[in-house]
Amino acid sequence: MAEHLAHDAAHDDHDHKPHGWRRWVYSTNHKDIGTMYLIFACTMFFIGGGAAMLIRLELFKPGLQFFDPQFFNSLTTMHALIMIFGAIMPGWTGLANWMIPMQVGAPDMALPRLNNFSFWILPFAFTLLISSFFVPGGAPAGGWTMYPPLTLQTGASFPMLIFSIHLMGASSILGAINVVVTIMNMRAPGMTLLRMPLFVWTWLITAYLLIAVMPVLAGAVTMMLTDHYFGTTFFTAAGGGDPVMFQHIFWFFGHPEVYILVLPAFGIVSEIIPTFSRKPLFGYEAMVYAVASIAFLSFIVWAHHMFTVGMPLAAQLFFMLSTMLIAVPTGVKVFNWTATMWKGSLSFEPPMLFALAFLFLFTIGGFSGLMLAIVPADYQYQDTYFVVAHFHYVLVPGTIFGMMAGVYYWLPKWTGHMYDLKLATWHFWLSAIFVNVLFFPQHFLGLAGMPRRIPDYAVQFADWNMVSSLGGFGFGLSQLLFPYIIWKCVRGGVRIGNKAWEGAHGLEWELPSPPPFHSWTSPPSEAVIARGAAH
Amino acid sequence: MASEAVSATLSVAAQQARRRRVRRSALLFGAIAAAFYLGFIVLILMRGR
Amino acid sequence: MIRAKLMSLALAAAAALAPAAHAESGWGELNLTQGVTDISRKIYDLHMLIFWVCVVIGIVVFGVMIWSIVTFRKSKGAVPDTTMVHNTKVEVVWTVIPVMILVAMAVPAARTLVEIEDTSKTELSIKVTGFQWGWNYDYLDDGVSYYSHLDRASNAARELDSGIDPHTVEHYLLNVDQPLVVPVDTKVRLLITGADVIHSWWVPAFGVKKDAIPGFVNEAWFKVDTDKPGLYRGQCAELCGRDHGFMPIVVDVRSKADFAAWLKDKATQQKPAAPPAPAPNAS
Repeated sequence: MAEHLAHDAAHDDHDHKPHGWRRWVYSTNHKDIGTMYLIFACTMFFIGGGAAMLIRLELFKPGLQFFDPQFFNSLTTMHALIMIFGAIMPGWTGLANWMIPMQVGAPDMALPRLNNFSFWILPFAFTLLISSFFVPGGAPAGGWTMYPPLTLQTGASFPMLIFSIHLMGASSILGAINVVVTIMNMRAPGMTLLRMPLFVWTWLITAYLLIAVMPVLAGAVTMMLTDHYFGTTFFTAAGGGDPVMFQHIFWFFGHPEVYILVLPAFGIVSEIIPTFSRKPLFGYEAMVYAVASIAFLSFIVWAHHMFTVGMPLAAQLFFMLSTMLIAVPTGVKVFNWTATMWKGSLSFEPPMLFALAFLFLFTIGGFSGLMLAIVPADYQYQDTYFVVAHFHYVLVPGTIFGMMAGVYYWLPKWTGHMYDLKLATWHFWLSAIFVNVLFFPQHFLGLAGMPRRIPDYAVQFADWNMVSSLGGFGFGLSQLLFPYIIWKCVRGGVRIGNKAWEGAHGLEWELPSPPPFHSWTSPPSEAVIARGAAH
Repeated sequence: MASEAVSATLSVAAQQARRRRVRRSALLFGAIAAAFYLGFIVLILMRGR
Repeated sequence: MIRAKLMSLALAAAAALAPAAHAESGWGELNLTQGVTDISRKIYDLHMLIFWVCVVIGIVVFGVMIWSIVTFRKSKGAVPDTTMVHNTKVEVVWTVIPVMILVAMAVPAARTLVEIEDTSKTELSIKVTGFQWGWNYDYLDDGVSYYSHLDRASNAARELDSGIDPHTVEHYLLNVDQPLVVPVDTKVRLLITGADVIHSWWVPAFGVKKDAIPGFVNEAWFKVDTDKPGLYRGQCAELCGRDHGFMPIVVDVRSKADFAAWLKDKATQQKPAAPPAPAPNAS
């Protein structure tokens, strides 16, 4: 750390960088590590997506055509684990690495070598997890929620599951510590907290959530490990343990985790909508407070994931009310984004298109979330495709579209080239149409009574499952455009200046495109910071 | 880089103070994470009594 | 091999999309069932209430968004009003109105929940045990106990590459060898537990879904309308291993007299067999 700073100060040459494999394996540069995170996330997105395609293939029509039910359960379990821990979380960390130092006027992350470590844990964690497909008993099949006693029945892949969760957890805790420490200590003089871009704010709050809840997940799986191998009975009723206790601990992690997955998307959308509305974000401070209150509330709503376990009436009422309360700050955010567009001057480049799809479709996911909060109705929705539709609306057109919006927003900054806007617009429309064909019918399936996590179903569910599968294949294929557009943009394209977008504000747009290998080695002046802060 | 974008470099003393703050807060958050990990396990152990 | 399967899927798609709809079409199955108990209808009403509330909010919010997208376009020469950065009055309004709507929805929801949780004055108690993969029903006061599994026809058709078209199987995956039998107009209390892993007993028409957890006994109840005897179907709703998708629930609701006769008959059948049948091997 000390040498690193001295090293930076000694060389004012911004673009010297190590070459060959050493540049990447030994990297302590936030941009290179960010790139590696993003490539890793994209790879996992396609592996997890491949699992999703296989799931939709088996569900295309009733009857078992392709897979044994056990393998199907492995597919659903691994799809979730890979997408959540492999695609979304590293994707956000990659964007944080790239953008936070540039946005707060810092030369790099506060802990560059820790940064290298937290990235390089991930390939090992996922090699361990994915190779569990090839051990006796197959990959974990107890659901990503890993409820005991079912997950304790896992075969040889059980320890692989537990240790890969430990590794992923360690990676994201270290990454989160780095983000918090960077934001708290590395801001340029004059970059006050309430001048920070919303992406930095949402990531700061996300990082706090990560530091608080990832250890809780690690604790839960550790206890399961000792239950399996060392004769403890934390979660085994026969030995005086409590299987429901696992669910409480898991969802104490799991609900904040939901916001870990989506808050950075809130931040990105809060930057893109003002940019393409050519108007400052409406209610900046209200947005910050809304995110903070969502984060706070996320700690006291966990049991709404488990209304059917048989909780006391008072507990059910409490969790229903606290869950409904989340709709208030979330509503504030949606209203503020809408008000930002009101009386703006809108244009519809790909980042804006994805942000608008986020706005509409995340809101639909919010509505179904509100319905799920109503306990008596939840008794009917719980563990059906209605829930599957709900969380995919929040995670795909919510989180994933938010992330893609961010990539399309900053890609010209990273590469110095504008990407193929026409192709990216095609990518948008195909994604936006197919995502609805894929997930909207799942609301019907759930209400009609189809449970989730089943490999085969009664024939009255056949029609909408077929529609959903066709939508799934279309969505999956459309995503192939995404890496192609990025690859093409990296290779070349129309050169752009500092600002890729007419209405963009912020310190990252004060740097050249692509930015030098070491940017903001001397912090930006107050004047530049003031110009960047759009509000 | 545009020259107007740059203000005076941080002084050596300021850099050292920042480095100390970074280290201290990183260790603090690491300790918090460890406390959550162990705390929850201990909590369940106590509950089992 | 795989290609042949994909071909058959394509043919199935063509068949389904063709106008000649098959017997059990699912296109119209879009909404929750109203069910056959007082509680299930209350749940349905709550569901529709919150659905319409969401629709109305959606029309307003999406309306404003679409209006903005259409009206304030740069290509139409819209000039941004960059002074519009916040407005306390508006922000208070759109914080307070949602709170009021939420309170208005929480009240009926809480009232229904209190009713659901009232397990007093039950007239018949049945212990329901979920196991891998089926259900055991134990009529606690009458010494009647039996297992309920997926029926043979479905079980044969659901094998990988069985060659049997599920459409030809009656109530594919929703039929059992021995249903749970209960009388109409009787407050039936279920004591639900699990033998190995967690299951969940769900019959949508009764509005009952409760987890079957090893080491715990959960309570649930239902009271079917007098004029609604019949067969009601549900499924296990908590992932419980390989055959989670293949442990349906069927409840045969009979008139009180029919039920009494059935129970008496069943009790005499089971008398000589002193110990109940051993639990099937769980592994």
